[in-house]
Amino acid sequence: MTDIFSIGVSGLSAAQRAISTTAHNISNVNTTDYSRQRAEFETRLPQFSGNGFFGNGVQLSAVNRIFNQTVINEIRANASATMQQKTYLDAAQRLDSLTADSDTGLNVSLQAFFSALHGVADNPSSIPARQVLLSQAALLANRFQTLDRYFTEQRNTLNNTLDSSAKEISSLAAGIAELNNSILSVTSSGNSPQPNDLLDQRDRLVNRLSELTQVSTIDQADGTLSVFIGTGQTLVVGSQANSLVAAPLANDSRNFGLYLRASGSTVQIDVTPQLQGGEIGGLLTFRQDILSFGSNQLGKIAIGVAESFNDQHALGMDLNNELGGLFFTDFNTGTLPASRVISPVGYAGPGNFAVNITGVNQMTASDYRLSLAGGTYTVTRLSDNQVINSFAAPGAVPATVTLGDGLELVISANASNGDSFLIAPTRDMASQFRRVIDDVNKIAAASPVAFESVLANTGSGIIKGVSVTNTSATTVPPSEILNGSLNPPYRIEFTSTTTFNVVNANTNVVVAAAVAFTPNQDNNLMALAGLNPGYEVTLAGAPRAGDTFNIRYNTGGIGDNRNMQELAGLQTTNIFNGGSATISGLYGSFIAEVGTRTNAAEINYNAANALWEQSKARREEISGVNLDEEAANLIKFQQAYEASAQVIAVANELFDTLFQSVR
Amino acid sequence: MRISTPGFYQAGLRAILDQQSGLAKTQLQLATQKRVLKPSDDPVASTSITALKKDIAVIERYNQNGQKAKGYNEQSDGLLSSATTVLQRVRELAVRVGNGTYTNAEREAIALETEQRLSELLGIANTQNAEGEYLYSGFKTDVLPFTQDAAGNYIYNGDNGQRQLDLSTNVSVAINDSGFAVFQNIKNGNGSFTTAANAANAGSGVLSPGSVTNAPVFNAATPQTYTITMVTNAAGELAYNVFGSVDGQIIPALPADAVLNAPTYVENGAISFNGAQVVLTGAPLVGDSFTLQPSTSQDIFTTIQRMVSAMRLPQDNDADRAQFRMGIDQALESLDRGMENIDNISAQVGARLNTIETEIAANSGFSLSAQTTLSALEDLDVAEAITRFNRQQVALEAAQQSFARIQNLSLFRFL
Repeated sequence: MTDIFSIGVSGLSAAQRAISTTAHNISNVNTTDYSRQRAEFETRLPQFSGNGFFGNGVQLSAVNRIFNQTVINEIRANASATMQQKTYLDAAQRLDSLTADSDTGLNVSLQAFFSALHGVADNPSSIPARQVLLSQAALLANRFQTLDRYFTEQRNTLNNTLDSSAKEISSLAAGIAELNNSILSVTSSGNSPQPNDLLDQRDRLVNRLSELTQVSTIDQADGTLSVFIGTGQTLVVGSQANSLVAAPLANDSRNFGLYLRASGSTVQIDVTPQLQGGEIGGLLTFRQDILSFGSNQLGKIAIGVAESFNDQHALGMDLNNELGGLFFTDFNTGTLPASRVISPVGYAGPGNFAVNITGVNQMTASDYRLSLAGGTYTVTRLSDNQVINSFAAPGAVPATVTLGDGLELVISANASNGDSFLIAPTRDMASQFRRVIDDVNKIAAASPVAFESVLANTGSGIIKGVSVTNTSATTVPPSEILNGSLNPPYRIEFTSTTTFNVVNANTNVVVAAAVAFTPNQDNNLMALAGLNPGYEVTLAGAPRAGDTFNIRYNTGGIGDNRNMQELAGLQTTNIFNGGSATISGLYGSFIAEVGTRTNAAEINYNAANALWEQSKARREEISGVNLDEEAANLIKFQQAYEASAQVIAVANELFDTLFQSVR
Repeated sequence: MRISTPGFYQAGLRAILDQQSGLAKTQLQLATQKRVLKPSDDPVASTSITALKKDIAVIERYNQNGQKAKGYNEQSDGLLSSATTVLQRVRELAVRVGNGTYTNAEREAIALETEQRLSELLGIANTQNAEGEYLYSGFKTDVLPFTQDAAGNYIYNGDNGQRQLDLSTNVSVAINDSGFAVFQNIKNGNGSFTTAANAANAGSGVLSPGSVTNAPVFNAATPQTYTITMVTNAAGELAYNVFGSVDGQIIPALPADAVLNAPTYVENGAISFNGAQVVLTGAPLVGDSFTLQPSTSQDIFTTIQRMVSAMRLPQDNDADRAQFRMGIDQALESLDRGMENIDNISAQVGARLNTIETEIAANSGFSLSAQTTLSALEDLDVAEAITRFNRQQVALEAAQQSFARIQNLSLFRFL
């Protein structure tokens, strides 16, 4: 009779357990990454009594969580891929609309600036037109700086995000290690049941980790989970967790890298190149693909505009009859050349370098690495890992070496073998783009060289134009155009219809005698006479013997717009990429590059996200709680409970019957 | 298939959110009427959009230059035709006075009017534009182009500069002509040489302004002064010889004797040498001489000034009348050169105006086609977008309604 009681009680307690499991499921219906649990039952050991085995009721064998490890691994892989694309896309989208927007992009400012140049060309002596040009130049400089500031802000934000991601990864690692420890302590006592909720919690932490960076895991026999990031760098083993730290990169302190640090140790290992996927992967790819590239490209445009503009402006003459000075920042002065060479963090010397920009046309947007080994410097372009120059360390310093790619290296002191430096010629240069000129009278709209035919001329010779190519006193040979005069002014005297003399108009000394002239076509007189005064004079028509032309400084030529025409022409001149891109063309291709990458990121994100959603849905199918199902189970187990209670009631009645009969 | 309850909600919610974001994008497109809102919407198109926008801005700027250049050239055109009118009047006066039937007082009146016209022309040459720039001083636009020095000579204070404006990437057009080119760089006489009578001539011989009949020969000869002298030849007739200041004796050709073999003077007969030809008329006397000098540049004001001086020459005897005749003739020749020069410049201005019109039209055409392309790339197909908007709206409503209905279904409601 006791066995009936016992069986009934076993049924009652089994149903109770089942109901409590169902209740647990119902209460956790909205718990993230909760795996539904199921109480599993088995029959108790039967009792042999002579003629057979009698069942002994039911007992709980286990409470299992319903899950599929393959699906969980899939979720983690997809989470890493999706979050990488999402982070990349979020960052790229901000830049995407910024660069092309008419209020924030460069194009509108460039157009307004060149329009103002045409305005001065229309009316070179007009002060208001010149004032407009100065204002537009300031606005252009402002736009360059604003854009660059945006890039800098993005970079700072990115560094901060890397830092907070690293901290989160460290705390997740610590959490996983702690859970490993708890799991170990409950499972270490032999063949004990699984701590379902702890396992769920640990899975949830690993899932979050996989959103931050790509992870791989190994289940250990003792129930602990080993977690690896990147290409197999250990994050958690058993109850030991390493931490991830964000700190400036050794060779490029402006950007943060990620370092792995063993617990209790101060040794840091740079794992930046190894980390892939997840938010961190997205940030690192964005930094490389768009942020650094974009900031360099913007710097390249700024340098190109300033240098080509300054060069042309120097060939002109202003309202004070003086040669044109700087219009925008000179990118080869002050601390700028030295700032282009970035020494490793904590570098103590002896190497000391600077880099000048010598050819806007050949400049790239890439960074370079300068390294010294075995007494030979090697310069590598980082965008394609191409060695662009290698040369023996110069014996005497300072020395200047032409590197190629429009760069020139000034070595003030040689480095030691094994040293390596980053050359960033264009980085942050847009922030240095400034309008230097601030006096309307100093805008050099005119050309410094004027010419005249003498009234007594009898032939039809006519000077078609003078093109100024050099006004620098430091070139070899130096330009003969000085500030306010020509040294010397020349007189072209025809000695016959086919020969002329070039005469120094100050001393009347013949500089070049009987130079051959071809009538009725363009003759470049200075080249024909073998002179290189920094300008060229083109004469056409048929002069006659005795005809004279004067070449002099253009004093008082305030209505001259020849140099302004040249400056305005820079808008449509291919000054970049070996003569294949204009200023706005280069900027346009940069916008297109960002647009294309953003577009690709969007497509990739949508694809990755769909896969992630699918794998999450599959997990929900397997492990998620369905309330209807639980309701049905509730009814089922309730009925089982009622039945078992009935069994006890029957047993009780049987007892009563027995007691009655005995009484 | 087993479905979990949170997954079920999640799926329903995601469907609604997806529909909403699609709807929001379409709404933004409709509000801005733009298909491409940011470069990533269509990277290929956005490259062209950027380039086209720049092109359009550049063209607009070129057309502004064109309008400006048109204004300058039209002003120049007007001034040049005024100058031509003045010169025609001066020519008329000179031709009239040349008839020689006027009294001294009448000639003085004509001379005074001519002087009046001269200052009128000087006013034209010294015109300023609306911005206060002198039109005919080359690059030195703040300098009064023509002034007179103490001796009464006309001085040009400007330079030879000619300002250009760009009308397109490779077409530029001049917007001014220097005073040098318009008023000063004018060859006097017939353009090749001038003729003059020796002031001491006693006869009434008049040498015509002449012309160059053989340009290659004339140009090949060294520019020099030629002198025609009246002599008596071996036949005892009135004859002439020609000497060059460089070439020496020309007529009669060496080795003939310059006097004895000199050709007989024939009134109205042509005298030709070194590619030049002049005609001598009237009655020169032995000892009279005439000179031919290579033309040099002479500004139009000096030409008119000399004409005025010629008008005032006395006409007391044949020799005076011959000097007067030649003075007026020379001045008329020089004046004609000046008028030719201004006509020539006017023609250039006309050609420039033509170029400007053509370029503006071409630019506008290009701009229009760029605008059309830009619109096709950037602008929204409104009909398509509204259809899409309606479709998305219906889909969103369906998602919302079905979600609301389904979430009422739960077994617990029946317990």
